[in-house]
Amino acid sequence: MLLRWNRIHAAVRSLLWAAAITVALAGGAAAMRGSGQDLEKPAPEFSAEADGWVAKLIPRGRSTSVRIFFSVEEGTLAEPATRDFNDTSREGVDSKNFKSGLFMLKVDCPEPGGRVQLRMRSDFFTSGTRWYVFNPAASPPWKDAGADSQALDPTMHALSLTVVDGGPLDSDGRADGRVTVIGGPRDSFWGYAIGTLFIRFFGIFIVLGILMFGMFASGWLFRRVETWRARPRVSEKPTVPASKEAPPAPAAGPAPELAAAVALALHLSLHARSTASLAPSSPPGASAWANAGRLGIMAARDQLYRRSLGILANGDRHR
Amino acid sequence: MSWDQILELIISILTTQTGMPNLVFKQVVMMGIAFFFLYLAVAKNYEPLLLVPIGFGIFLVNFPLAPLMGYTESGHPELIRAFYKYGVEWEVIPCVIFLGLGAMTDFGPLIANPKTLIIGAGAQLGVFITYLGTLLAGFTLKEAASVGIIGGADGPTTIYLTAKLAPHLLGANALAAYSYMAMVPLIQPPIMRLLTTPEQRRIKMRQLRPVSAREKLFFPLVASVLIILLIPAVAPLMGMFMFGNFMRECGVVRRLSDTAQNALMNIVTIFLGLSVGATMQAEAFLSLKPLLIFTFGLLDFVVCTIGGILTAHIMNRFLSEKINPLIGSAGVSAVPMAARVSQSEGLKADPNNWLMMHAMGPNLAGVIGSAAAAGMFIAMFQ
Repeated sequence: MLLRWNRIHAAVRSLLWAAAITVALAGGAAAMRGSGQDLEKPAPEFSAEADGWVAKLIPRGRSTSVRIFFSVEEGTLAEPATRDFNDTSREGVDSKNFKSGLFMLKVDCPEPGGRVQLRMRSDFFTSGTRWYVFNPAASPPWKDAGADSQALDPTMHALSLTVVDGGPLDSDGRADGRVTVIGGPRDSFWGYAIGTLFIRFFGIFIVLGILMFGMFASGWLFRRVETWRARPRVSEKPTVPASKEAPPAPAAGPAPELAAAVALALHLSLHARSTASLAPSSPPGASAWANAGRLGIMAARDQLYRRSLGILANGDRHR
Repeated sequence: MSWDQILELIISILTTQTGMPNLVFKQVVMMGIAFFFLYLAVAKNYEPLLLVPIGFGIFLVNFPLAPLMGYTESGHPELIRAFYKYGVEWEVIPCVIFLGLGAMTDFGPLIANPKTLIIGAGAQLGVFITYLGTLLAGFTLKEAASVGIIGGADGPTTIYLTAKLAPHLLGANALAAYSYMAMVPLIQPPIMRLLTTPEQRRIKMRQLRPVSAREKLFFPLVASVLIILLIPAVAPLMGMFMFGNFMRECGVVRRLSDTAQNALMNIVTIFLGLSVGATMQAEAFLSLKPLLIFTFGLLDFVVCTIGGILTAHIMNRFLSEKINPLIGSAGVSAVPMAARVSQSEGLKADPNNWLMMHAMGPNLAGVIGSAAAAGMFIAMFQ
């Protein structure tokens, strides 16, 4: 009963936390959207090129600059300018889709009511990029200009747009010998965001998966190398073939410490026997001559004892 | 000099040369926030190595007229601005921290069980879910990426990416990342228990194979080749990480390795903490965004933990030798805290089930995974 109550309590607490987080996020998001901050607003710099103008800008969602080239056929393109998106904002039009911002292009036509062909090219454009124009007099004011898209090379795309002076794409609406086009390249923000999200998430699996296979391969290789290095060498092979019953044959004789210990034991045993008659225990009250002889025997024994341990007389060890 | 002139002089000194008349309420609030983080660090021992300098940075920079984060008239950066400019803005300190982390890391558990790399990848789920959520909340693409990486539970990676993409969010992101990393033992266990059965928590894993010194030595080279070839944008972080690890494993530059692990790491941590804290000036920090970042950060951590555990469950469908799904939560790269949480939860289910070394695999994979995610984001905005 207590266990069940604890589980219910934990579930309710989790739900309350989830609700609080949802409310906080929803409220915060609504308030943030209302704040209207635009930190990534593109600020293009224009410069003249041989065949037109070029805008250099950092688009939304990029850290590096891109260049958009503008040129025109049958007419003269004046220096382009930017337009603030807030001036052209309409219901259902999201500035996020216009990553490069808005441009105002003015072209002098050969004659009033004539037509000009605008051409925009950039390596920032993709095959899905559309050119949208804004005409406050039209309904709806924002629409796809129907520009032709052409891939110049694998990275460079061009958009071509024909505009009639005083036509629906001319924002000033007058056939006065000057075409004014307000618009910009449009890409689907959410399409890009969600598409890249999946690609990059699975990209991490691919990268770490490749690393995993690399590690499996290198692990296998290293284990083979270790096994190969650890195998017994031909010269070290035992002369007598090993069997289950037979004890393992010594590879290269006893260890030096063991040999020294055995030698010491043998020496002490033999020396003790040989010196037993030479140095009998002195009876109490033995003469000075007897004691001197006893000391001499003990010193000789000690010297032999120390030599067998590998210790020199001065206390240093043999290497 | 008349009394009026003396009075005028005193008033002038008070208003232009002392801070008291210039202190505003927002700055007092920020100092309160600084004290809160200092309290968490000192009294609660939550990531004190980072939260103490961050908290003190917040505290210092919110004094009025204090020449710390501005520029002098001749254009030279003031003290903490200099730390920030040359350390964080130039993206030096996070990479140096990765060098130290590499020198501290033993990749043995990951090398012995490379399958756990997949768990590290699965635990990046929250990074991408949060990225989407923050976009819906009105953040820009770059801001969303910098907030999303918080869930990777990797402080230097978060700072590196945020400094690159959304430097105005650096303070909030770094603080959220380190705060939640400190709270891993509180956040993860309920999720781990919710997503696993007692039987699954009792799964015992086979002891890891021994890894030779030679294999450990070659790992940073092999990993660098594969990762940097695939994601060149991650080279500064991953290159330093693997260089630090190579110094550790090669064994011939013990002094350098020791310096990278200790002295260098400690020095840059001081400058990093102060710089990050100093970005939290009242006028920049007291807005809605930091609150949203903290909320999204929590969500991010939760989803990353879920992602790691679910990946372990999915892997178990295909593996004959099952892995304990508790090690999935260690796929977030809070090293070694997340692995310790897996260990403690495993011991609760079975006092003889030692998961620490098994959990270190996904934990280290999480470090690589979050750096890879950061590299993906950087590449996306190039």
